[in-house]
Amino acid sequence: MNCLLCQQPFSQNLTLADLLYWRPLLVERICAHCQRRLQVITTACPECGRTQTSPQLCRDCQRWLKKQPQQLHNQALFVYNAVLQDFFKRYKSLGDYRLHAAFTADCQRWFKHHPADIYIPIPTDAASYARRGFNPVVGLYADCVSLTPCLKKQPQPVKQAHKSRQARLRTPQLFTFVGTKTTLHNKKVLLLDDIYTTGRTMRHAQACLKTAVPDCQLQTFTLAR
Amino acid sequence: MGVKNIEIAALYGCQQVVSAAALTNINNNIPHCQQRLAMRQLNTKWLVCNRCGSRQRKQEVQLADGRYYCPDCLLLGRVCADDYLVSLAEPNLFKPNSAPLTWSGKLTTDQQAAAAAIRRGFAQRQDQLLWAVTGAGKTEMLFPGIATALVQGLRVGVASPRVDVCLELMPRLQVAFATTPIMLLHGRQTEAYRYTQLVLCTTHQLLRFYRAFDVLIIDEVDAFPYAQNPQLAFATQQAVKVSGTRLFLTATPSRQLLRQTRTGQLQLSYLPRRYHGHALPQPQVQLCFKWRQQLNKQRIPQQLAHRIAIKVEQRQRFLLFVPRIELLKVLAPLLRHQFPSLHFATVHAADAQRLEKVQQMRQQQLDCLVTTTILERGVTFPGIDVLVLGADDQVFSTAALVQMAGRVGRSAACPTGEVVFICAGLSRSVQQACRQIKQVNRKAGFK
Repeated sequence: MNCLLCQQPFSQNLTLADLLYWRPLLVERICAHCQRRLQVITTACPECGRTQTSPQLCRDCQRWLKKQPQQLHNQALFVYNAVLQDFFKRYKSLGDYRLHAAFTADCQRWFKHHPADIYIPIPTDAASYARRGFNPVVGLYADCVSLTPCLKKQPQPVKQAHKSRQARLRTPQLFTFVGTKTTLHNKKVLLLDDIYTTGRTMRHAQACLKTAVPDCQLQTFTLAR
Repeated sequence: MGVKNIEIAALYGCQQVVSAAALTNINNNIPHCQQRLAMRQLNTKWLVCNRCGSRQRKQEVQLADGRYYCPDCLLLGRVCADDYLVSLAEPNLFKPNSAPLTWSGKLTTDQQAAAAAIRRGFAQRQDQLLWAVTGAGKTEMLFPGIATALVQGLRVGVASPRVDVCLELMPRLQVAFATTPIMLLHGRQTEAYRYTQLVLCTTHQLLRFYRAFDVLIIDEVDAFPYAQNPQLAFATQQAVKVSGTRLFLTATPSRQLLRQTRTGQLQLSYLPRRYHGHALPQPQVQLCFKWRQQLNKQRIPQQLAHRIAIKVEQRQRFLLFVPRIELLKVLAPLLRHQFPSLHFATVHAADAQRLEKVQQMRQQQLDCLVTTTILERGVTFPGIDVLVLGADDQVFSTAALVQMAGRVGRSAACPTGEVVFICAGLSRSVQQACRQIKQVNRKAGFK
């Protein structure tokens, strides 16, 4: 099998546990060399998941909480470094859908330790879906957990990724709730996105869900921070 | 992919991806438009990309909405199976130019013969292979042929697998054809595409063209990535007109190319002599058992140390090739320790300062470059020797070894030099490389 990041052939090293335990094997799609270039987040800001030396609120989140007291509890797997930038460029901009399976094993491992009742992906608007032919968030997580799409995104004239930081922070609410409210009552809900940059998207989605279903427990997860 | 206002000139011989919805719009605006489906069905399980010619397994390249795409030519913009490739037939609408050649240099008699053969091949539309030894002056030999083609109003493409080679060729072509506009295309080019009679590009960029060139010249056909990539061979086929002709240039032809010359598909012109008339330096093989183990024990292999000591004493500059990037890290501190007077730098493909270091070597600020195969071709340092450590390693193909040996004695001022292959055993490629150089020298009339 070829590594999805560097295209070099590699073979997965099986551990004794993999061989002996009667459980499905997590298939790695990234070679050990690329795996080492990823930076796993261990100690992080409890609010946004940014990697830090101590688990305290980062400056961005202190500002957020002053403005909007609702806590987010975002957790992220990897630091958004050059390797992941390159990955997202190929996956989202160029549209190489084969890459959707690259982090399935890592995410599966994470979801196993942090189970939730309902998983909601951040949607894409209809125009990007038609152009790309896939929703990048659904592509990343669909193989790990069963997803419940509950949100709808209004068409955006300019993509978040193409805006400046200030323009991103000024973006008005862009989600509407389209799911059935009863399924979310008193449930532990995990909102899923690909990258946490300013936190604007996540907080809009959170606010949208909270107004629709006030009594759900909400946390969020992203692949990169 | 909604290409709305495509300039007509940008479509001459150039293919663009257009979605089915945008196609009707284009058909209304531009009549005589050639259109092809972007991917065609091979059977129930496989698709073939019409742009890059690669075969794709349907289940591996399906998008979430059910469409199929080609991941192999993704960098040029994604093609989906229901998209169309549109282009216009190349009309050769160029300003007539009766004397495009502004080059004042002189060719040797050997070069003149080869240049005449090239010109004949272009006139007869015969695909050709020019086998010229390293340092024969291939580029200059092309000028008369290109000039004749330009006079006849033909569209000419020059392609090379490596960006470095393209960047080095561009100024030389600009000087030689000062009155002709030249478009340089490569992956990092920011300039917008213009329709020009003479195009210089990397072989990957040929994927943009469809039956565009009357004459297509492909330099260094044996080099990575062209040699191992059927996609690029397909691109050269697509980029040339049905009535067009191709010229392959190499110093180390593959068996496949030589087979094609035997079956008559390619006409072979042969130039076994360097432009300064001296023989190619014959490599010496130096056996050095367990060189890898010695390096692992933090010792420079004795034979290598001995050779380097001589070079340091004679103040002879040299290149030291190693098979793997990891070895650079091992070797550098050892060399620094054992030869403190030797000024050297290590270079590999991912090195950010690669161009600066090569420049320093050119300006004689360094005595030695320790490098991987990236410097095997396209670079010229006057008066150097070459040492190849671990010449028997799998990464060194016959062509790579011949090219590395070809770095020596390229200038007329110092036409000789020493090439040493240091290896733990005689591998097939080492033997073949030595044999090939000997053969070429014998053909050139040297003993």
